[in-house]
Amino acid sequence: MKARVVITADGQVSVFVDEGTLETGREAIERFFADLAAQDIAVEWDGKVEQHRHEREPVAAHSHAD
Amino acid sequence: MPCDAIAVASGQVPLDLAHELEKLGTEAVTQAMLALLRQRFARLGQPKLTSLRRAYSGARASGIGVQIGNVLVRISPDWQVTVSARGRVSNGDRQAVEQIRDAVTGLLTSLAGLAIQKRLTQAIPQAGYRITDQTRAPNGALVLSVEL
Repeated sequence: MKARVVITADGQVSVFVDEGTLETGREAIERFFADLAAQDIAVEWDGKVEQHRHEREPVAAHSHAD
Repeated sequence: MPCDAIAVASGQVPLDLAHELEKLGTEAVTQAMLALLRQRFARLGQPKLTSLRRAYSGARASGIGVQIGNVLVRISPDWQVTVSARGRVSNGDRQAVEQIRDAVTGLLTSLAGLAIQKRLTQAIPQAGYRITDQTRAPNGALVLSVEL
């Protein structure tokens, strides 16, 4: 499953899963953070996984400032 | 960052400056500070390492000390930055003190951030994931393509 992991210089870690469904993406993200914790990298995360959509889709788009 | 991902989550690795800098080591931090001072404050002269002394006893103190022109930069063993000017202090010295303090403090924060990025880049393959591409965004963020 293809994903992008963005690590900012202040330690924020964002995971963007580009394949599969929201549910499989959620599972992959949960597993990824758990596997990092096992490597002694504790990512503080509120457990929220969102779905981002293309602007052309007829729903409110979620946009990033960067 | 294009906003078309199927699932997105964000978390935070707590930035423990002292911990990250400790791992980098005094030598690496010293060299980075010397390079920064040479690049940005060449007008003040060549930065030189100097041994630190306690104010009252004169006994040798631990930490990093660098003299550049009339300005002394000290980084304590717990990574606190102190910048001061010696002797007769001019307005230019005061300005230099402020600028150097900001620059060195910013450098330490950046070094800690780079250390976190490096640790994560090492931990991801160790956790069994393949990194297929790695780029750096203009804001300094590291962007990894990963097979989850």
